[in-house]
Parts: sequence; structure tokens; C-alpha cells
Amino acid sequence: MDNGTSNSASENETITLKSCDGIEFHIDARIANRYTLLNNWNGGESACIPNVNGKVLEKVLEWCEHHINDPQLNCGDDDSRRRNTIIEEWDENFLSCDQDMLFEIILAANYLEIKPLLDLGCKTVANMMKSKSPEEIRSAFNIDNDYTPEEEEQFRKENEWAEDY
Amino acid sequence: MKTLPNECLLGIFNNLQTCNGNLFYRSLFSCLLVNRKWCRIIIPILWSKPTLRNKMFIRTCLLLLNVEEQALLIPFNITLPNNSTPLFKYTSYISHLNCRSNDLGLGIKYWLENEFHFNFEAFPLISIIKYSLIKMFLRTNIGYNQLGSECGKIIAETLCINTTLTSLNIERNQLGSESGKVIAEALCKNNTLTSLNIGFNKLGSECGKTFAEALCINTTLTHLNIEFNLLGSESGKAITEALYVNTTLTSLSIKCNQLGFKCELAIAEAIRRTFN
Repeated sequence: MDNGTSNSASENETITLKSCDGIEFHIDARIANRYTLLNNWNGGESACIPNVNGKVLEKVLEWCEHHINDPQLNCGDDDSRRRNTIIEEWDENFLSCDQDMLFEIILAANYLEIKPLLDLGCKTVANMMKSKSPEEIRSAFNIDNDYTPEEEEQFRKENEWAEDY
Repeated sequence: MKTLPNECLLGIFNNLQTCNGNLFYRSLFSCLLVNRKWCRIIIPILWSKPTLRNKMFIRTCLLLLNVEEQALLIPFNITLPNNSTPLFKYTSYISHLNCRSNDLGLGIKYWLENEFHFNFEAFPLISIIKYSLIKMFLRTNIGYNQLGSECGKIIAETLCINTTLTSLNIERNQLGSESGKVIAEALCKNNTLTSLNIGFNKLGSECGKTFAEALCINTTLTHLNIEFNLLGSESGKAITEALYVNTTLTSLSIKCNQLGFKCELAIAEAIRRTFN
């Protein structure tokens, strides 16, 4: 389905997207063809993408442009994609922004259904959690502990088997 | 982080679980203890493919046994863990029971050794605990899952032990031909089960024939649901013949099995003659 549309867009064609705070972006039409949801806001005069501000949209589009020639993965390929935990250097640099921006990018990728970027963001956050204790994770991401001590202890005991692996 | 919706958190946690194709749980375990919201998302992931070969896993599972399942262990005089009821019905999230290399049996052995401080080689005790656990797995987690072929073998094994199980629903579990066959063979030895629903399991023709043979021998089964199993006309024929031998079956669901019209007619005729 997507092959048909991506072939039809030539390299010089551009479309216009507008962020929720009114900033316009002129992007390669092939990007919009790849991520169908972007197409919905093409044509920019009045339409703007709700929930995504200019700063975040700029980052998202920067990522899309860099990856414009990536082979497209099948939607059903969840497992094989997940298995690949290696993050390319460019992507790693791209996402080594502050935490707030990282989460904004994940939110936007989820909202705009840009699956590979969403996966990349999730992978990056997951890597930040690896080999940390619950307390370290809480402080790294500024999360409150809402367990009662008894509850936490019981969950610890009931799931302790997982600690060994 | 607080603003991320559950679906994004799920994406993150799924990435914690695998590394180069291997399953890892330690990071998920840490995240589970972060707060209640994370816990609710993580428990289903963590318990979907649990590690059976672990005494702590066995311990939590034993806490989930109901009175009937616990009663099976009374003759063996072992003290079960008596902590409060688990906070989740954990085993309801199991989607893959990896029973290769007797992992469950080994987990039970480790638990016994740890609790009772001596070396248990007592096979009957391990078997009966295994059986009570499987029974609990089936009670808390059945009919909509993918137990898979390995688990089918354990079910067969437990059916061979003389049991109290009278009704078993293992519909839609991707059991496949091989474990379907061992379950059918187990039916030859079992004399307690009265109702078996093994529909939607891709059993195939060879397995259908084994079921036909089982129906000739088994004298307790009254209800059999074997619909949607790609049985084909040949095993349909074998089942037809078996129906003339079997005198206990009162209900047979066999629709959608590519039996062919002729075979379906023959079965209908066999049912008309024998069930009445």
C-alpha cells in the first residue's frame, strides 16, 4: 500500500506542516508519504498539528529526514525489531537531549504514529533504566513512590524470582 | 516521564525484557517496585513467560492454589507457604509455559529442598505438586491463551496420573498435532475426565486418528469438543468407526473439520444409532 504512494512523490515535492504554536515546516513530500498521519495535516494554511509544538516537531522532522531512505519494516515485525537493541550512533546523538525533550519526542512519535522513532525513544529510555535499583530509577526520573512499605515488600517477595534473571 | 501514556510505558518496558533475543527480568523487577502504576503494567509482561525453574516462582504459585488444589497435597504432609493471598492473580497472565527440560519439576525440587532442607528425590511428591500447579494454571489461565505444545505434554502427563480432574477446557491453545496426540493417548489411561474441550488447536489428521483410538478405549468421557481442528475426512472416518465402539460419549462437537459431506453424514448416522 505504502509503496504506491512513496513512488508517486518526487524528490522536489514539498508539503507544509504547522505545529500547534504556529511554526511552519516545509518538508520533503516523501516523509509525509511514509508516515501517513503527517499527510493529514498537509496543506498548511489553517491546519496545524495539535499537541506538538514547533520545538518538538522540528526534532521529529529532523529524524524523519535523516531516515528517509531507511527500508520500511513490516508492521507485524514487532519481535525482530525489539530484539535489535543496538542503537545507531546518529540516533544516539540525536536523542541525547534533555529528559523532557526525550519524553516529548516519544509522545509526539506515538501521537503521529512514527513507529520507528517511538521504538527508538522507548529503547533509549529502557537503556537508561537498565541495572538500576527501584530507588535509583525513581530519582533518575523524578517519580514518587506510592506503595505502602508492606505492599512494596509483598510485591518484592511475590516477584522475587525475576530478580535472578 | 509522568506524562507518558501507558502505551508508551509498555513500549519502554517491553524493551527492558529482551536483549539480543534473550529474556531478562531483573530490570523489569526493579521497575515493578517503582510505583503502583508501573507495577500494573509490568506484572502482565513479567508473568507472560515466567521462569519455571526457580523456587521463588514455585512459592508464589503455591500461594495461588485454591482449597481443592491444596487438598491434593494433604496426604504428603508438606507445609505450604501460608502468607497472605497474592496481590495479583499472577498466573492468569502466563501465555507461554516453557516446559522443556522439566523446568517446572526442577523448580519444585528446588523449592522442596529449600523449604525442607533435605534432598528430595521423591518423584511422586514432585509429580503431585506439578499436577496441582498445572491444575491451577489451567483454572486461572485457560481458553484464550497459547499454552503451546510443550504445555500440552504436561497436561497429558497429569491426565495419566490418576486424578480428580473431571473437566478440562484447553480450547484455543495452539497445541498442535504432537501434543494433541499425547493428550489423546493419555485419554486411554485416564478414567476420571468426563468433559474435554480441545477445540481450535490445529490438531490435524494424524492426531484425529489417535483420538479415534482413544474413544475406543476410554470409558469415562461423556463430552468431547474437538471442533475447528483440521481433522480431515480420514480421521473423520476413524472417529465414525470409534463411535460404534464407544458407549459412554453423549456429546460430540466436531464441526468445521474439513470432514467432507459424506463423512459428516456417516458421523450423524453413527450418533443417531449409538447415542439414542
